[in-house]
Amino acid sequence: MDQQRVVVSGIGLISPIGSSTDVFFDSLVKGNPGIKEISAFKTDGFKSKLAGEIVNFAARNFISSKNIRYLDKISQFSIAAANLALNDSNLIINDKNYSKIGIVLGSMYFGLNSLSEVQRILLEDKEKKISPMIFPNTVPNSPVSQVSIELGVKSLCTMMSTGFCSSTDAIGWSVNYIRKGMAQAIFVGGAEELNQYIYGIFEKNGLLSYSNSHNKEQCAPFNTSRNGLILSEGAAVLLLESYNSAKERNAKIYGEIIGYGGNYCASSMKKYDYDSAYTTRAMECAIKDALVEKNDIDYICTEGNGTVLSDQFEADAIKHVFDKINKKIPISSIKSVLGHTVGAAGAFNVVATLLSMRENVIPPVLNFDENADTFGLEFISNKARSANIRYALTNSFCPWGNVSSLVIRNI
Amino acid sequence: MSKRVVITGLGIITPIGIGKDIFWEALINGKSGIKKVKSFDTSSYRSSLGGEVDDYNPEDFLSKEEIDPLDRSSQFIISTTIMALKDAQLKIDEFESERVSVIIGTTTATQSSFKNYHDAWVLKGYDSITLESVSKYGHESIHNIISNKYKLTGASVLMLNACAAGTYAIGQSYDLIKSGKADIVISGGTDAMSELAFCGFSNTRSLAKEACRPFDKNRDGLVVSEGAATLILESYENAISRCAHIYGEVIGYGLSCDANHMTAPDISGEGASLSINNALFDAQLNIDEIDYINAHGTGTSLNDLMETVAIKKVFGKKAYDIPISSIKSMIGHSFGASGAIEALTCALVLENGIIPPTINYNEPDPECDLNYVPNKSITKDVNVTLSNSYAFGGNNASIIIGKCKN
Repeated sequence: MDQQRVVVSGIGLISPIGSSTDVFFDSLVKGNPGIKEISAFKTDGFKSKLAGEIVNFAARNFISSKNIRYLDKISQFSIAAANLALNDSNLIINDKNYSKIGIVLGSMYFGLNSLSEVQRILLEDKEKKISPMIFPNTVPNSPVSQVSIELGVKSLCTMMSTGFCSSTDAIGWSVNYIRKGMAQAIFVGGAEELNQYIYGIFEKNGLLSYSNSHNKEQCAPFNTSRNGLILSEGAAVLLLESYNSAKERNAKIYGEIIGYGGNYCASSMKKYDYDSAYTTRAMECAIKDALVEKNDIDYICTEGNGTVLSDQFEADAIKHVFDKINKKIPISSIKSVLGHTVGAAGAFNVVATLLSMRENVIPPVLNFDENADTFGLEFISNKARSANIRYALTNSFCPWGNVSSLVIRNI
Repeated sequence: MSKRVVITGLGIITPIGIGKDIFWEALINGKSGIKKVKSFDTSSYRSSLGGEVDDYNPEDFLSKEEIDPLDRSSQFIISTTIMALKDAQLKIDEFESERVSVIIGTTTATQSSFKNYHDAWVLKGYDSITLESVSKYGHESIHNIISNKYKLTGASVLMLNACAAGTYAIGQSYDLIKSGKADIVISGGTDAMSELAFCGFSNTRSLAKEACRPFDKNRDGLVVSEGAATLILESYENAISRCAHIYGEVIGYGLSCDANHMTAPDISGEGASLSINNALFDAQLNIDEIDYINAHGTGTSLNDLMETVAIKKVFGKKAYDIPISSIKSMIGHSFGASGAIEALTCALVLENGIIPPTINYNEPDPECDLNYVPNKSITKDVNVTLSNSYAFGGNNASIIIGKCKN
């Protein structure tokens, strides 16, 4: 059986730097960060104070559900982004196709706000009265289920969790599912919501940037002054569709996902204890799966999260994979502007890359000292650069061992 | 050319037994593992019944250093993985690490470790929290622990599909091998007893008061339980080349979603029948070829009615001829583990030619009028099995496992 080709025919996102693809991409290109002092919870006791928060989210502008007040943030972001992707795609969901359309989201922490609320009731309330309307939010697959109900799509419906790689893997797995002909289209992406507990996990792990006498609190990917990542929240959803289906309905096509690789590379359960023999595997596998040559890759949208170790490992892995080719591939990271959306980060990378292909411009890595050592790589530093991109690679590296990559083709 | 996928190793922990032999013996004799819950106070809930695993001692499987940082769900699945690898006589380090993947399903695994982190923060303040205690939540997650323990570098994934997670995990593992992306997958599901889940089901009035009686007229709810199962899936070539014992072959799976309601199933059976039909399509089988259905059969009024409707929708008159049983009558509902436990059960049904019963079945329900194998197991040569899982949020998954033919 011929494998189906898989294209992206719709994009929707909710982010601290915009809720339309135009505003989002404009912020990335101009380098307008969405990173501010945290307002949702007190930061006393934390060394770090900043995040990319979505404030005053007008859920009602994006969601039709009658039960909107019972939805937690992550479900609201997910439904809103999926609705925006649907509108963007002009796909009409009807009783002829709904059983062939699915939803897959990646997330590392799912509905942690609701879970902590319920956990507090279990701890403090003797009667343990948990509202039956809140309880469903604590189940990890709640956001995707809410999306399926909102859109009325009845094919596969799942959350996947592979840390920072969650949504990259969600896209890779969904591509395979459409390729084998089991679905016509899948709404796929990632979602993450911020709260003090996630912030606490990241700070205790020493992953967050903070101010000290040498450095500012900022996300400075691949820069010598980098000292950590900045957390952020939001959701990015793509409509993946079989090429035939998209062609048949004359859909606008952003690009084609042609290759995926995902694996595990950690030597221990400690963060960034990678076996460097395996940090290159996801990129190698994705390029092989895509049936392209390394020389064909015109742009790499990196994990580039601004932690000392991740950037070092990723730069080394890129150098190793592209060792033998005779061109300098432009490399960027969108995290200095967007921050790190954790499980959603991979989907945001894909969105940014597709928009770069359409607009012929690569957004810059901010906070880049021009005189700094650049690992011998070609970073798009501080200013956007115009570029014609035929094929691009996107990376996700999780501190705890998952590594994933996708190859995207410009159509 | 797509690969065939076979099952070569089984490991299991349930309230009626640890290890496939003890579990199977109890299962075909209709033994119940349901008792009063001991791990937390149930006085404020609708029921006190649960399926706890009393005789599990992690030290039988793991060293003290390994046990300490792990929550109970993680201990379970690592123990079942050790059993399954041993059963498969698989020396995993003899294979290319990149060709071995791990896919685990769970509902609450991440929640129990979050409880400790949350409670310490609330009671003693943020400063009291150590790196070790936050590590348990989120990232030091089950799939990574297994990949790490066996030095595996293939995919390492956690599937979060509530009560269908185990079935989803096995389905995705099957795809990975079928498409040539892995030779071996350690696949399964796990969930330890969770007060949060218990509380949630109590508040939604879904807990059984006296017993779990799937498909019975007087059924009044499910019983929350715990457990885990690991299945070693392998490409047929890989299994044959090392002369492995083959329990059965994964022939296909199907997924769907009701898109109807977060906590109630769609009683039209549309979503559930779609997942069965998708599985039949994937397996390229027709309805006459299914010899046994391992039901989701939670014991709630709506689920069992919906499942009966869905089976009739797919199988028509033939539905009356197929033995259908719910082992949740004996072991309760272990959420993310249940799909894996039930797939493992199907493998043993194929192997032994015995179908386990639905116990606590006393009074037929006119609306649920199929053959539910009441109370006593039956002997039947079974070639192909179907197992259904229906989850929170309207998620459905069905998997078809058959005898492996040359």
